[in-house]
Amino acid sequence: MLFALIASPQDSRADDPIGQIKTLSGTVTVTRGGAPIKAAIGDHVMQADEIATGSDGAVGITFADNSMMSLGPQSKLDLDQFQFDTTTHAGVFNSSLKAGTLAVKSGQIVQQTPFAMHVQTPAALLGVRGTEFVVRADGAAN
Amino acid sequence: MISARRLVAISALFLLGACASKDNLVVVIPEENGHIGAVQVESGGSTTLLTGAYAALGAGSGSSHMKPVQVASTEVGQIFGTALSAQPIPPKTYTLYFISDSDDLTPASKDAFEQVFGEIARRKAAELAVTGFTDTLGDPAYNDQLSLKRAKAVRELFVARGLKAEDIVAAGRGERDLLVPTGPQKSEPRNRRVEITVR
Repeated sequence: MLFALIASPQDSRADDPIGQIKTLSGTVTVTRGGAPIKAAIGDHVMQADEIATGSDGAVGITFADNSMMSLGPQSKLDLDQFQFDTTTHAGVFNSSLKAGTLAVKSGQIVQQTPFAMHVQTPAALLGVRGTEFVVRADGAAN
Repeated sequence: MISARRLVAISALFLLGACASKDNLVVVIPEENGHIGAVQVESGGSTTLLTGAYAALGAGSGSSHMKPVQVASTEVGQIFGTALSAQPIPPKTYTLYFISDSDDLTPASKDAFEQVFGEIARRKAAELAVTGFTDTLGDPAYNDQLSLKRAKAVRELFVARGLKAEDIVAAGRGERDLLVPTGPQKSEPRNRRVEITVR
């Protein structure tokens, strides 16, 4: 009974897609398990993916909790941790902007639990209460 | 007395300083429907809650001590224009209701069901989140399962119309997020619903 309360049947698994690429221009790569792959609209992203844009690149992603992130050129974003329970909306979303520009709209994770979404940059750790902000990180894109 | 030339030099220094202090930058974006945006920033050993439109902190290259900076909307456009233009179309949600004690949609909900296809067509890559809800009649854990069952039934309606099952996530929220707030053990048709989010 206790187990049933804790383990929801809709818990996300580590190999589940956490989001989908909705917009893309120029060069965009997704690195999964060390191998960079050229990204396309419709591709899914997973926890631990690293997203990078070239000097002509931009990309927009919508995540499973309806949060959205988009990157400008010469940017690098690591999707460190994403957990989302579609029944309770409990979850965490931690990412790292290593370089470049990022626009964020928070979603159901933050709506349920303020500050459950974090963006780490070389200069700061951002805790998100919602909903829209932009951040630039001064760092190497490659 | 400070000479005019010296003043120009000082201004130039200030300008340089202003630019350098934004290599690292966080800006809260103004929002619709009166919501006040807020981001908590931990930097250089202190914590700041940034709230409201264009509240901003910046730091120079290599610095990890962000300080308040003035940022105009035009500057946000210059620095973040490409990232902001790449934002996806926001998710859009439709609510479907069922005729009491049946699996049949109400006439208004049949219209909403059709509108979902138009919303999908607007997007280059679309996914659906189908979320079931119950009223407060019955046990909450049972309602979690019941709402998921309803969501899965609606997912089948979309699959029957040609959408791929893997593009549709079905979820049950049980008696959370009641559309019409009620006490426990209350039958309320408007709470027995399924929401379709196109994203």
